[in-house]
Amino acid sequence: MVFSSLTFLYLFLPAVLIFLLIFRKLQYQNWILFLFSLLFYAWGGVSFTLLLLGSIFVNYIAGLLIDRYRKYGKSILFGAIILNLSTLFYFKYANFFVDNLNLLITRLGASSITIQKVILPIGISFFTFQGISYIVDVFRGNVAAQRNPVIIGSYIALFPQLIAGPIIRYNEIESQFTRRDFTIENFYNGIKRFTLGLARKVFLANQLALIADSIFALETSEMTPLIAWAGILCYALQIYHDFAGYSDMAIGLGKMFGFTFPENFNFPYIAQSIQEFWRRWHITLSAWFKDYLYIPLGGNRCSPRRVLINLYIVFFCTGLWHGASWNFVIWGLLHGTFLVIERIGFKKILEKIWSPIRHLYTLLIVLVAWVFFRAETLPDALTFIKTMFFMGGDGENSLYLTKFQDWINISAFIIAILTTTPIFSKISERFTIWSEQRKLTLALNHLIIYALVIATFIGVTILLCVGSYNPFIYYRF
Amino acid sequence: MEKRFQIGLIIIFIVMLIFPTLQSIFHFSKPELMTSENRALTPMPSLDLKDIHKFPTQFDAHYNDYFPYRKKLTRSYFKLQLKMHQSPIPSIIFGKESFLFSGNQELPLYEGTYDFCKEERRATAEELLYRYNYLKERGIKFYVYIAPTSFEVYPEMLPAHIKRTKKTDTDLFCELMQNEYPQIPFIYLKDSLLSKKEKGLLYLKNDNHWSGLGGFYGTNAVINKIRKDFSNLPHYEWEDFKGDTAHKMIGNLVESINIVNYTDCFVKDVRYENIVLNRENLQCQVLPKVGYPAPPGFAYPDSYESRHSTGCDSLPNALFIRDSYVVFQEPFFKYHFNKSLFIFDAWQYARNFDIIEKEQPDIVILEMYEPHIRNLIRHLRSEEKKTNK
Repeated sequence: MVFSSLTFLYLFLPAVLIFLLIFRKLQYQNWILFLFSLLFYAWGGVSFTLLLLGSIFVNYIAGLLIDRYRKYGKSILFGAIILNLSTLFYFKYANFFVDNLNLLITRLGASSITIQKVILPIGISFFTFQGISYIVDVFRGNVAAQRNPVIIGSYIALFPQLIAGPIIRYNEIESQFTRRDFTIENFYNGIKRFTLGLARKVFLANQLALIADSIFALETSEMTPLIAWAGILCYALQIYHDFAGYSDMAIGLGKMFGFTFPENFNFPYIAQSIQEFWRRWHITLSAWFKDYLYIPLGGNRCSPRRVLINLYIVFFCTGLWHGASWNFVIWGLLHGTFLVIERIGFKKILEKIWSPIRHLYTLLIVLVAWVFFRAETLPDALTFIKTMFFMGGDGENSLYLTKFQDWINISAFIIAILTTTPIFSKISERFTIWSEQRKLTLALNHLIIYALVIATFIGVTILLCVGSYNPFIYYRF
Repeated sequence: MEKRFQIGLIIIFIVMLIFPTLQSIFHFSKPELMTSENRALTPMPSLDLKDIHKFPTQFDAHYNDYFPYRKKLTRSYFKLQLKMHQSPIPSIIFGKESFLFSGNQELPLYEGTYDFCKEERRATAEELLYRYNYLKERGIKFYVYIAPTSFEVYPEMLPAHIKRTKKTDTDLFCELMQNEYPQIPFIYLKDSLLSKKEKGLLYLKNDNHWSGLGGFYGTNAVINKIRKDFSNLPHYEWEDFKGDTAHKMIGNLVESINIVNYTDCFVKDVRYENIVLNRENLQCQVLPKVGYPAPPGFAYPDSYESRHSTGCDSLPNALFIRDSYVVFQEPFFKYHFNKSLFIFDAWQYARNFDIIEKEQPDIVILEMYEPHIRNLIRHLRSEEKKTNK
């Protein structure tokens, strides 16, 4: 189930809220959230719910065993991590691994291996990482093993963040299962945040996706540098508002239920270096890799050469985590390479450069890297990049972009660009100060918020209805 | 005070979320279902444990279709888009001079992203050869013609960003037919229509079909081909026919948006109705239907079969396997034959050998709209699969 669907907005969410409002005891609320989370997950793949339950069971038992048999804690932890990662490997990387193995062995003259196509269960990367986070935290003694399986189940499967993050570490949320603030203020703030995320997803990301998808589907012969740049720019905006919008919705839902989830994005496109970009983009994933991979590898405490190798390992894994394809690996390594370059001295040069140039440098790297992320294949990505830099793609259809010259696309594009900067937050702050001075704060602020929430819901509902409008010019049977 | 406003928003939010469900239960206003999509709305799926994995998708589709106020909300969006002179749905393309184009299969065909592969083109040609030989053994002549899309005849009316691929799948199919199956009389009507554009508007602006005039010139091009084998076929000019003219805004493209008469985005098309030949010595009568069964589920069962007779024994009898394009040709075609039978077999373009055996026509004419050519082989293969099972 996705948040931006009529079923979620008008059936699932009100049902959850009504249950939570009726049953106010936390013990019941944890049960309600756990059961609704399973239903939410089953909606995307009924049979995979067993996998999710399996993950919950394994990590719950592993946590208890680690806590009880500290002497063997390392072995138990190791076994549980292997179990988690092998499940992730099988469902996410088996096809990729076999395809690459076949390329290798067929060159050596051996016959290729065939396996049945493995279907990727939705959200597996997220819940696997959360499960690992829990058992590692128990092993490190950061948290006590949880004896209540419903709490572990709710932690791993909690639907607001189950399929698109943020990745929440157990120690960040543990206490909230036993004491959280299901308050009017949190609920109110949650509504605002959820609505903001919904608007970003439906009004901006979905609209820009139409342009990006259309451009990435073009043949090279139809492409020009301008079209290619427009395509990657739209994709960069789409992926940001899609992902950050989802995080906003997750954080907002969490707030409505009384949880406080960590922030996941902090205006990444205003970064002035790749290092800074990764402090602003998918913050919870970066933090996860830092705590559970980079630091165990030795982090900054080893030789400079080893630190660079560690960074490459982390970015290789970051790339691979996003998808089973060399394109994702290259995307990760490209970021890793520039991070390493900045670390070995370029950062000092950057600091002396005029800040708009620093922005441009960062955006250029990020945009080029997004091509690998978005393109279907490596040759497609390389051709696209060549076109961007006038090394091909002398397309004939210079008027192609006129297709998108309508008020919806243009306004979505402009708003999407503006909202990559903190401009609206600043305007909002100024407005609050201005209205406070005039004693208009309360009524006016709230009326504006009311209007925005209502307008967003009506607008989103209209677009979801239009999205399901599927006319046939001829009757079909 | 602050808290009151917060509670206010929470109440508004929850009411907004539960209102559609309450409307479904209590019907505060009369429920309106969307009927302009020309498709059956998705029914509520049953909760079958064996097929439980299908339930969520089917339920989502059902809920989307029956969402309260879907019609009102969709129409309000369409109205807004039309006010901005923009097409509200991707399947309708706004062209120049109020021309509408269908963006369904026609657009990918024109732009070269259609899915009618080489193997399917070959298989279609082979199937046509099979039918040609089958009919030849029985002394029946076989003709195939293709009705072009309005994209091909009025490319200058398309938006600037739409560019034709160098060779469409239809071009490739025509090349295959002409080069490797020259024995089958085959016509792609594009050139014939392009040469008649100065005569008037050959395609309707609010519809993806050709106009009466386009149908007429398409008919003449086909008849000219047949005349090589049947030299006694009569020749008619446009002026030989008379009919009522009606000015209508409703074409199938406008209809799919479902907001007719709302905006100046649409113009009225001239439609010809009750067309008859303006000659006293040649009359054409409608014959009663034999009652061949229409394909199950066909949305236009009444249109499946139509028969005419001019009573001129010297003229051949013809059987047409056709789609909706022949609706605009039937009034002209019928005056060229002794008896004519038109079978609209739901875009399947099937062999219909049982009907041919029974009717024993002199001529079988297969008409296909270019985006639907691939239906012929796909339908045949699905039938073969069913038979094998």
